[in-house]
Amino acid sequence: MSKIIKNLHEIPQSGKPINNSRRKFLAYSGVTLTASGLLLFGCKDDEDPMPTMINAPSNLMADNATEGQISLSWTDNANDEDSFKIERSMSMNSGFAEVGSVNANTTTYVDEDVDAATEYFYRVRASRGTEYSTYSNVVSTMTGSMTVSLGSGDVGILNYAYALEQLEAAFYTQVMDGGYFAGAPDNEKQILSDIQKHEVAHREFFKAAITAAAPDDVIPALSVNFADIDFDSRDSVLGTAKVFEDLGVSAYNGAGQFIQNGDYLLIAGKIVSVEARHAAAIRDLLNPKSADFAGDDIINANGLEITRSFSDVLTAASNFIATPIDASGLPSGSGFQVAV
Amino acid sequence: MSIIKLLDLFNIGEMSKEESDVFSSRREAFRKMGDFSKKLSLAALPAVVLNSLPKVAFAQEADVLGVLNYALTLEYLEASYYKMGVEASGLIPAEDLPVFQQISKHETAHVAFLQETISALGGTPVAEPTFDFTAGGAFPDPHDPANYATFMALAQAFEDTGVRAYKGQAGALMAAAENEMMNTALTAALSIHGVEARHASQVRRMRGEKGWIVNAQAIEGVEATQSIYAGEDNVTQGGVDVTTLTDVGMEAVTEAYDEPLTMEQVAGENGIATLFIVS
Repeated sequence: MSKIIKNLHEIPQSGKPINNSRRKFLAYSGVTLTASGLLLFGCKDDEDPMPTMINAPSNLMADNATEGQISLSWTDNANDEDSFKIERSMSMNSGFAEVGSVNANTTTYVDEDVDAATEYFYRVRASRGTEYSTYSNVVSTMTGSMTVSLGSGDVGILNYAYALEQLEAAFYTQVMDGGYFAGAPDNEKQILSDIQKHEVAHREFFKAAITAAAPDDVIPALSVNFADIDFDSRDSVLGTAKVFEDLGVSAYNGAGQFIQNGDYLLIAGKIVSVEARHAAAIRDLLNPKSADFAGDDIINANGLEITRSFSDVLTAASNFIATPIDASGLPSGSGFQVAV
Repeated sequence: MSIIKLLDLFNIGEMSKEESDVFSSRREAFRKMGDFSKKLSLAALPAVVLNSLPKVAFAQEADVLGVLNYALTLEYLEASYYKMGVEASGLIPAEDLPVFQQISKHETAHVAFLQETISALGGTPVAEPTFDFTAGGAFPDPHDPANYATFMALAQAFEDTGVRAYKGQAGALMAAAENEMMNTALTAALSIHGVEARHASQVRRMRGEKGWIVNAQAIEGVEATQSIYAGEDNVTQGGVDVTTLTDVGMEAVTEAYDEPLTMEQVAGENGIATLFIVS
């Protein structure tokens, strides 16, 4: 008993130091104070040796190698625990809450309830009933960007369109915050802000339509990567806009043949012609009153505009979309595609 | 004359068992072409390949042929209009010429492509109608050098009509798109449709309009074009009022979606294109 009290004295406590007279009271009353400040009752000097304080786990490590989960492991230093409690927080020093519990002698835990591209902090402690050890070290890790699956069938194609509209809407929204837009002539501002609104209207439509048709299958908001775009530069902004608009037109035109539902095909048709209108306007801003608005680089000798397969489009878009996309559920084969 | 009556000629009844069998072998023949046809237009297929295919029209192909001949008629109208335009001395200012030469090139190519596609599918391309671009005196002669503004306005009218007309046939083409050849027709139609939209955007902007259709705004001063934009103020897509989904505003939502026109609206008794067709 006295040994316990002695140990107690050595353990850093956040509360008031226990003075000698209080210690004496505790000893005489058969009550002991654990490291975590909990009171234990019924201990008497003449009984079996007191259960010692639970030794805290150590060497906590986190592994984010598997997508969509974080795996924790630690060293079990206790021989009398009945479980380990796992706590998680979004910050180093506060906000920890228990997210899981594992049985005694288990030294791993997998947290699957994690968001993509998010940093998490963990700590673990051993417990026995209402008694706890001190905490392990705190460990932090960042989840990767989780792969988003487009799904299959028409929903897959709608998600594909939704992904492209997300990209375009995000781009034009950022354009309007950039230096080029701030100083652009009124007619260019009008065109870019109109297009931004159109792309938002497309994006929000797809989100609503897919959510209504297949609530479990709608893709989340994607992370974009515009690191290579200089939003202060007219050439960079309009050059990228040209790439995106031409890509969008070719994507819809290439995907149409795979759509099964006539209503969806019509809506794709309603959108693709507006994307083509955008593309022509952007190209004309870059090279006014030339043939470029519908140039020979994208329209072949039959007067057909080039189309692109799912994989060609996603490869091109992947330069600007950080979130990995799994398109394996989309119709296989590239179908009939128009080349220049 | 009404193009729709003309197109009735292409309506062929239900397939007989024999025709169905022949069709199957034909579909098989297309399938065997496989990758070969992937990157080629129909028109680019060697004649020997096309001739080796059994030439039996079936119900769905008949629908497609009707749609393609409808498209061909509109392309004849545009091709003729721009050819006369770029050849009319003193009509198009030099600075605008590259644009109209490009458009003219595309419309002429569309005519040739559709003619060859219809033939490749076993159909007969409709003959080019005779056009009257004053619509019986409703407009000043758009090819008179004094009337460049009219030329531009009608160009916009034809391009926006073309976009809407192709879009109106998407469902008919899709219903037939059960084999590779029909997918090809659908993809080609989509592709042409987008080219028309590029033309429309360019001509509109050269006229000082936005490249996209705002509400159902007709061409100012050309009241006869009102029907071209009927229904363009629609904001409901797939049963959802898109204005309730975002705060971009009603005008932007109408701009963001081009709406279809039916064959009747374009080529019926009082259709938009019919106005310009003498015989």
